[in-house]
Amino acid sequence: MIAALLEDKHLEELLRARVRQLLESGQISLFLGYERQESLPGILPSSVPCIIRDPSDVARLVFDRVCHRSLVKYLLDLPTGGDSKERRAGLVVRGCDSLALQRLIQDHRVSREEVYLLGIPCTGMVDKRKLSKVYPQSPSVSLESILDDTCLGCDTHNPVIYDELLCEKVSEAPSSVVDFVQVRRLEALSPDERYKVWEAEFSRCIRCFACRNVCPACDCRQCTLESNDPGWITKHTSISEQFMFHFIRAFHVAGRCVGCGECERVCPMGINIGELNRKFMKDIRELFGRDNPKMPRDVEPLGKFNPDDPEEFL
Amino acid sequence: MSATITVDLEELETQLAGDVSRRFDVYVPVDENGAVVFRRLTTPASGWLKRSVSLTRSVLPANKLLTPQTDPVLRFQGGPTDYEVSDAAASTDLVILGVKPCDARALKLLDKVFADESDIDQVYVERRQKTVLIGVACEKPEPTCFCKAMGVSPWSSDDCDLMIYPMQGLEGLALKCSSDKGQAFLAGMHLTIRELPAETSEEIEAHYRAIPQPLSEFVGHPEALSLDSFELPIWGRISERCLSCGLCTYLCPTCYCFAVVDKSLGERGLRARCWDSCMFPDFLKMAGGHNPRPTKKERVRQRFMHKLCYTHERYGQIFCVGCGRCVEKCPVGLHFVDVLSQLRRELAGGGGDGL
Ligand code: SF4
Ligand code: SF4
Ligand code: SF4
Repeated sequence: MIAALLEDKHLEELLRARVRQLLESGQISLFLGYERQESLPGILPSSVPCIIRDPSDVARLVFDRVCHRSLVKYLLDLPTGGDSKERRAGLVVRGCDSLALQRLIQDHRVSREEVYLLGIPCTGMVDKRKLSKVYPQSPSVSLESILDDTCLGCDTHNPVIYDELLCEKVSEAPSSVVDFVQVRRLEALSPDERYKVWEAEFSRCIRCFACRNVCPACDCRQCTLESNDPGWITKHTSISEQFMFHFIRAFHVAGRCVGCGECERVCPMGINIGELNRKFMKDIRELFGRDNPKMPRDVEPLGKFNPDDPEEFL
Repeated sequence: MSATITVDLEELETQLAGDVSRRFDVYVPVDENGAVVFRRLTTPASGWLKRSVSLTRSVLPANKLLTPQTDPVLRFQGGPTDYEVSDAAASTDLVILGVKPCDARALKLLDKVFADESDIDQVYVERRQKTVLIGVACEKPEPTCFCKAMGVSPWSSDDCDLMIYPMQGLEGLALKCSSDKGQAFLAGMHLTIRELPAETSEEIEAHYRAIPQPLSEFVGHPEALSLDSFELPIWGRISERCLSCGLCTYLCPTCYCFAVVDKSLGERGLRARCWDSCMFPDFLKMAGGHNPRPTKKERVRQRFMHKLCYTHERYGQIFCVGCGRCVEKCPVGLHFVDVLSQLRRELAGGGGDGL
């Protein structure tokens, strides 16, 4: 049964018990987790972000393979400063979430002391599109066959920061992201051919900004896309404005993307903007010798000028 | 209205790609990297008609072709004090083929907003008059579809000019005319037409009627919300997970909000109506800086009160046609069906009026 593939009841019990203790002891004032959505006939099971403030609500919490969104950006919604205690939040973090949180910490948008992290070594989430092909009944489905591609290529299954782990660490497989197969394919095209590819992709974009809003590297207090004066970009969707939007987005996350894959997952128009992020990762790897370009660090290669930086076109 | 007929698929395809395309801008659904989108028919490969009518619902509703994301209003040139202004609003003769019944119904709802006698949007009305809607009955609804619950029949020709029934096992392609415009359009193509006996026509309807739509049964028949629902405590809670993106409103066939935006390039520029979304934090921000909907609570409430209450107060209709797009695509599952369920529970618990 597919339902059984998705769940881990034991882990869920541990999670609920720990959250209850943390809330009751006052160590945290709220917990960011996931709850199962009401099941609808014929519709894929899905777990969505929720905020638990009352210990008697912990039974709502789940952790399964359909917890698609990352929770860390919700931290930015919580009031901060003054005597607000809301930021004393607990949350679950998988490997990619921990990278995302590191990003917010390094950008001084969240402080490490404010958050209590229940780490979950994670072996992958399922891909909704793959799941929809076999759901609800298909007796012989392997987990592998329905896992998300980003998860299949993940090299950070274990959280890199946490306060405690809810289960044993898992072994890290070498990343397949670093193969950059699709990036290489795009690089091999002529500039004109490449332009055509992106023109077709960007012309489908509806500027819903779901990609920006889920992105942990898009954490500016005031996004340039919402600036009217100067208006870097308007709501007009001519192809030049579409390129402008995508350039702005891609360059602003260059060297800061943690490779969680959220932008691609949420895009309603199936635009493969992740390839742009991976192109930057590949360049950073090759030009600056960073083995793991998606691991946040104090000083990013693109965040500091070094006299011996490669300067091919200057 | 009129009888069901059949036409020859190839003959229709040739006509649409040939003569009709010279007289109209013809838009058809195509599959682009897994996303079904409407594109202008320019140099179609043979067999396109069969492919188009067998596609699932498009990601963007067909009716958005009448209210495009960037819709030119006027051009200006000159400056700094003296501008020449010219009209840029345009409407063309349009054929949209492959319109699903939910999107066709959405246009009927938008008519109440833009083509109401007391409140006419000239460009919209002109486009509406110049557009031929060729619908296609739903052979395989998505699991997220619940149009039946919202009073739409996935086979109904009511809201289109012509309706295609892409059912297997018929000789030729079954069609039905449902307006004078459709009749005239069909006559203009000079196709070989065969009229189907009444029984076959009934069989076709029975075929489509029998296609299940489980989510519709779950949704039942929603009633409108009362104005008092504005104060329900539920809004704060359900909105916590919203991402404040514009996905749900941009994909919704019954959402129509826009902003008027100027873009200037040196001494010339374009003023256009551009889609805007009540889910964006700055949607209602005033020139002086005040924002009457500062948090997600007010914005999510606006979206659902608008659909379930305000439009009902004003036009007598709930503004949802059950297309299921928000159900399928909202990144955090904050969609019409989920919110409706939660509202029902809240109202049942609080002893309020039912939905
Ligand atoms: S999510 Fe997709 S459609 Fe929406 S703004 Fe991003 S790229 Fe464009
Ligand atoms: S309800 Fe969903 S789609 Fe709509 S703004 Fe919120 S997150 Fe985006
Ligand atoms: S509210 Fe959702 S289901 Fe209803 S018409 Fe809009 S997008 Fe479709």
